[in-house]
Amino acid sequence: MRKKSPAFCSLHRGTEALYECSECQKMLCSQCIRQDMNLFFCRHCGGSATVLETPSEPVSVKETARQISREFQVLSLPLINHIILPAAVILMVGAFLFFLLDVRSVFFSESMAIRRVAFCFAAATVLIARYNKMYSAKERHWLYTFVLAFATSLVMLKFSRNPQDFIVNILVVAIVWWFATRITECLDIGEEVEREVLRIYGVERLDWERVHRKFGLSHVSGLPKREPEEAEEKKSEKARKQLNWNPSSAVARLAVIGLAAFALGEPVLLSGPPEAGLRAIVAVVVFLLATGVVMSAGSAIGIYRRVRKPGGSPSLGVVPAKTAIAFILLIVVLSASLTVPGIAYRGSGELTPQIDQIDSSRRAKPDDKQSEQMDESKASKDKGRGGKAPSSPGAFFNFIASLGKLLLIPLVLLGIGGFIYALVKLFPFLKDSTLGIKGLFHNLLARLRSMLHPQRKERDSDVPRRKDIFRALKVIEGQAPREKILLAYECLQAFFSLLGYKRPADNTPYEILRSLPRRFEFLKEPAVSLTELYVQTAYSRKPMTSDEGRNALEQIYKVKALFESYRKNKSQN
Amino acid sequence: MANPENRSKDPDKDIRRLRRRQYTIWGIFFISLLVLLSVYTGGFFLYSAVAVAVLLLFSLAISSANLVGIKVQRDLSASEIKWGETVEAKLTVINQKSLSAFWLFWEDYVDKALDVEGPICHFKTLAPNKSHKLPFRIHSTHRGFFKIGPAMVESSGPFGLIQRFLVGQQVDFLTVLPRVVPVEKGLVRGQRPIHQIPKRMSIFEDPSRFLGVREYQPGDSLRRIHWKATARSRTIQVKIFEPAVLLGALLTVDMHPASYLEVTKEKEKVDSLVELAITAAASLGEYIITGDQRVGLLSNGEDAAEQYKEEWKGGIFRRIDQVREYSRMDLRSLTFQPVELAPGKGQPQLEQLHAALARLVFTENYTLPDLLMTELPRLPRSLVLVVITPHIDQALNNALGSLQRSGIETAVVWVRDPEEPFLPEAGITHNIPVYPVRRDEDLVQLGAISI
Repeated sequence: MRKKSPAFCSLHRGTEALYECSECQKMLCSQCIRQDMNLFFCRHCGGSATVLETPSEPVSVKETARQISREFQVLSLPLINHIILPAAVILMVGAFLFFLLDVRSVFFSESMAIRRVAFCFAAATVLIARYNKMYSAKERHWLYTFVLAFATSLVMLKFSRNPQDFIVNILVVAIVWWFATRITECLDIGEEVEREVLRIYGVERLDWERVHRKFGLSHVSGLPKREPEEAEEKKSEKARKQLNWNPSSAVARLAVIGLAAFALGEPVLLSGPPEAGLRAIVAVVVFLLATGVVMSAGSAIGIYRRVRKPGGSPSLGVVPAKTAIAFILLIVVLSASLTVPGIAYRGSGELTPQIDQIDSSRRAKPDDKQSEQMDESKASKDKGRGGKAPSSPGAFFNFIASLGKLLLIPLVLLGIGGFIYALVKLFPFLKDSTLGIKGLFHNLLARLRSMLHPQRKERDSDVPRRKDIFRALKVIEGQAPREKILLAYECLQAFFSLLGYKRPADNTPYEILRSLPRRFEFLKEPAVSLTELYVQTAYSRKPMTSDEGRNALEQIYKVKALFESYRKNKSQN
Repeated sequence: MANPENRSKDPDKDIRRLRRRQYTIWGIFFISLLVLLSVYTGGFFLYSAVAVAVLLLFSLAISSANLVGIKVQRDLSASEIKWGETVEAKLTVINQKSLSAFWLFWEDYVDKALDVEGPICHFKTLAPNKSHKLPFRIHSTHRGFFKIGPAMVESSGPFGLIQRFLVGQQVDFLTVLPRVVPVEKGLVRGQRPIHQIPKRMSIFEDPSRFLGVREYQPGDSLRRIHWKATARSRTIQVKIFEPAVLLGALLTVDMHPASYLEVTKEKEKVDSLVELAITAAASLGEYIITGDQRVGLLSNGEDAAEQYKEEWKGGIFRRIDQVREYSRMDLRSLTFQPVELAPGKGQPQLEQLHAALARLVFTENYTLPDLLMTELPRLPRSLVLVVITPHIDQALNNALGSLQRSGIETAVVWVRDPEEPFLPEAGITHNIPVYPVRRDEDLVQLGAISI
């Protein structure tokens, strides 16, 4: 039995139609309908749509696989948006927090309780910041934050051993709160609820608007609200900013702050106990990994939303694919980077945390010497194992480091191979192009030369100096009208080139005028008059009168006067 | 402190200042990076720097390689449509290379005055040697000359931090012709819209309309001597002709914004007044050309095409503000040239007239009276000068009086706001007919009146 040929959507010609509108009789695809409960409505006219009968033939394995892949892609998007992305942000903030706590642990004694409390605080802050602008919790996020801060302070007070400890803990928590809020704000990509817009266009829309205006009808749902001009301008400004908005660069800026914190904390950690350094390097690895995932998923979802907003249908697989590739790349690069020789992460033990009475009483130490011996043997054991530590951060670190060692050589080979392969594939497109490198190199050389010899540039330049230009005017005065006009125009061109606007070789006088930069707006009037005179003189047989010659000279003097007054005003300002 | 007024006046300066600031920030960042690297001999920061550098290099390579061999082309079903019609458009992005182009985002640009049905942007990974077509439909809502394109393709690395923008070379323009009202109910005084009656005050004669002969008078041209009559009567006889007749109209559309703002300050009403004026010109033009008569156009407006660059080369850019700077409108011409269409008849003339009217935009260079006085020596005497304006003042009255005295027949189509409670006094004193037009019905009625 032959399969029934599918109908295609009336708008999206290549897409199979799954519905038919009962009002406008259009064939509709899944993008052209709006679902409300179990009912379907046409996006074009708002009429009810009926599901087309699909043939009940058995589908092929390929189609089934495609369907499963599609289902997976559909599922993966909310998974990334609601689970992976927030989890990565929490990890990122958590790693930053743990690094700060590791720095703190060099001076104050280590407490797991504080770590747990601070991590819970960071996670809660991220969730509050992320969902405060969505759903029903719009107005109450400050209340939640306040309650959270109060509770955290109380717990911190309980676990802090002295006032200094408490202040440092609160400071760390405050930094983390700021960091978590800023990171999450960067990723604020609006509500997910798709705004239903009645899709009527052109004259039909104009008629609709006119009728509603005429009868003073209230705003009809779906029809874009007409706003005052100022509001529209503000809105377009906002839209322009949103278009510029790149979550990756915003996250990257904050990540740079994190890196700077790592750099500042490094000398402290390298002087502290070895265990703190090990924990800190794990925190750095997790921070970089989580930052990469956040940037990748954030940018992909951002673009996805940008396409969805005007009703587009982006490929579903792009977001998970991009995130997955970024994750694999991060794992490979971060683990391989650990093998870079010369990276030190173990503390020397010069600084030791203050052990207060509570801690010393809690620790049941039979003999100080014995404990010292134990520590020494423990440290030597760790060194002998190549950095292996008994704690879980140590295990994670060792896993990553050994993975890096394993991956290093294949990675280098893969990189070289990939580079050669890409070069071969791209060669047809690159053979005629220098990729702008030549130009860049020339510009760099010219800039360096001008930096070395600032005077020489002016001397060697073919552009005359301003004084010379206006000195030449006296010579022009004695010329015949025709020569006067031609020379005056030449003077104008030289003046413009002196100010940085060089005449393009193939441009006509009018084209030069038209493309005159806005900064020369104040010279417009004399420039126009002089150009008119020049065109008449150079391109017509009309004999030029002495009045016209004088006029040309007046115009160039006017240019000079205008420029002088402009410069004077500028210097006064 | 920077003056905000100056900032808004000179966008190029702003862009340069922003760039300088950006370079400074990056410079400070890299210098501090180097300082930090040199101070600390190796540790967390070195590790982070190595990892980030490798990842950035990889991102840079991917985002740059993605755009190699990408071609963007657009197909429009028409470049000129009537008001209310639609155009089928299709944007095709082709990956010509043998490598995939990962996570490309592309978007076409369509002028905001046009309605677009269907998405104009997409986000996809393009397989090697594959293309993707993005069909959409453009609905016209306003008369005008609109830019479609250039399309922009955005490529980014896996982390979205490094971006590259490809701007397509192809830029299309769509002309939406003005609305035309059928002015066909008239023709009560003959079969021509402009009646072929001798002009009331004419110093010109029509050599095709022979009237008779008279005796030669000193100063008569030799070409006017009727040789046969001279031979017959044995005295030199010269031919005399009927005065010239009016053979069409020169439509003069006022496109100075001040004329419209005198009538109403509301932007919407100004827009509707302009459209009514253009519709009146287009309808009268069609009406006259259909009657096999000549029509010309003169306006103090500007051709909308003057706002755009002549050449679009496209290219690859590093930042979105560079793309915007490239894609923005060109500077307006500093020299003013009125929109003119030489009088002519027939279908090609009608098409040219509608296209010229479609592209008319406001300009503040010349007021209508100034333009009429400047153009007075060049205005054809054989055409009725039909002035279409919303505002009649003393200056226009004087200018029309001068035209009348120079032998040019004039008429005024006075475009008014339909919601105006009563029509004010036009204030034309030179016995020049004034035809108030408030809505389409008034235009239809014009056919029944002798212009």
